[in-house]
Amino acid sequence: MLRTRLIPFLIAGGLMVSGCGFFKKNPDIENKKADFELTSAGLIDECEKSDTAVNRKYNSKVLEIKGKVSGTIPGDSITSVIMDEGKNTTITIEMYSRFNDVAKNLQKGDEVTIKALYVTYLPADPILISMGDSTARGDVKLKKGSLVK
Amino acid sequence: MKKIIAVVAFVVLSTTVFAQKQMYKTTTASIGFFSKATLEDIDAKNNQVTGLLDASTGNLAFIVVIKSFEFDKALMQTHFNDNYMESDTYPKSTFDGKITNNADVKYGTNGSYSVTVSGKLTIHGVTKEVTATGKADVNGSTVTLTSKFKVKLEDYNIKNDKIKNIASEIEVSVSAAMVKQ
Repeated sequence: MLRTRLIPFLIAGGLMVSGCGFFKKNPDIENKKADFELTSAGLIDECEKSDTAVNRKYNSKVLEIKGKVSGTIPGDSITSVIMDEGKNTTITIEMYSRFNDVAKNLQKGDEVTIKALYVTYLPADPILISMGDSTARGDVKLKKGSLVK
Repeated sequence: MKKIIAVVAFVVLSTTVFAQKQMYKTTTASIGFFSKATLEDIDAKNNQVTGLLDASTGNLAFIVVIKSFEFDKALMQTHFNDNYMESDTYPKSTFDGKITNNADVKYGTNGSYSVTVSGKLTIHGVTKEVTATGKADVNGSTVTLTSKFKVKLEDYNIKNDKIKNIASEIEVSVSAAMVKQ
């Protein structure tokens, strides 16, 4: 009898829990603790050693990267910050739109610390190379970047 | 002497060949898609797309990192990466083709030109020949390519049987502002 009465409550509870999961928004990375703190040069070295190892290690992790800005790709609402440490691989961090103004004003050589979500590392793409793209390089992609320092 | 002439000829020829290329590139093109769904419409955006256009030939390429697609809801994003696109196994999609009416686009004159693009579209490890129409807007040293086209999930072996709330065909929109290199 008690079990029968409990069933509707259990179903309602289950729906609430699954509903919360379904409608849960993507987390804000700025407020999350970094899983790894590293330098841009260190990350590039790891990528150049093994793309599979680095992608496995940092898959969907929050990284706090310290390094020098080598350029920016400004956009109307989103700016990407580039770090390359003069190496043959770039780190491209798509910043949150709320950091657009500050990211746009970064200058080449500025020392920054950026927290962002690791997406992937892709070596230079053979399609781009076959088209004669002399700028094709390996690229580490991160998104949801926020400026820590 | 013959060697010197050969080297000079090679340098001159290669310089000429490279000089003829007119490369336009972006690493921040955006691709979005939309799907009507039972519970809630699904749409996602990716602003980390690499695009390369050789204006001298019309050759065009796009490299799309699958994990860069951003959804509003966390669970949708997880399903997209794990169940549908299997993004750990197939981390990128590519397009390798050309603007078939490239001669109609006057890259030196500002304006909006209708273009047709054909080539190989690879999604989820499956490559298909596709054709789409769009626009090329020339503005100084920037060419902005925009297009909307439809992709059938079953053409690319994307299973839609785990959660049947995605339409069998999704609308993809591309916008790539490429800058002359």
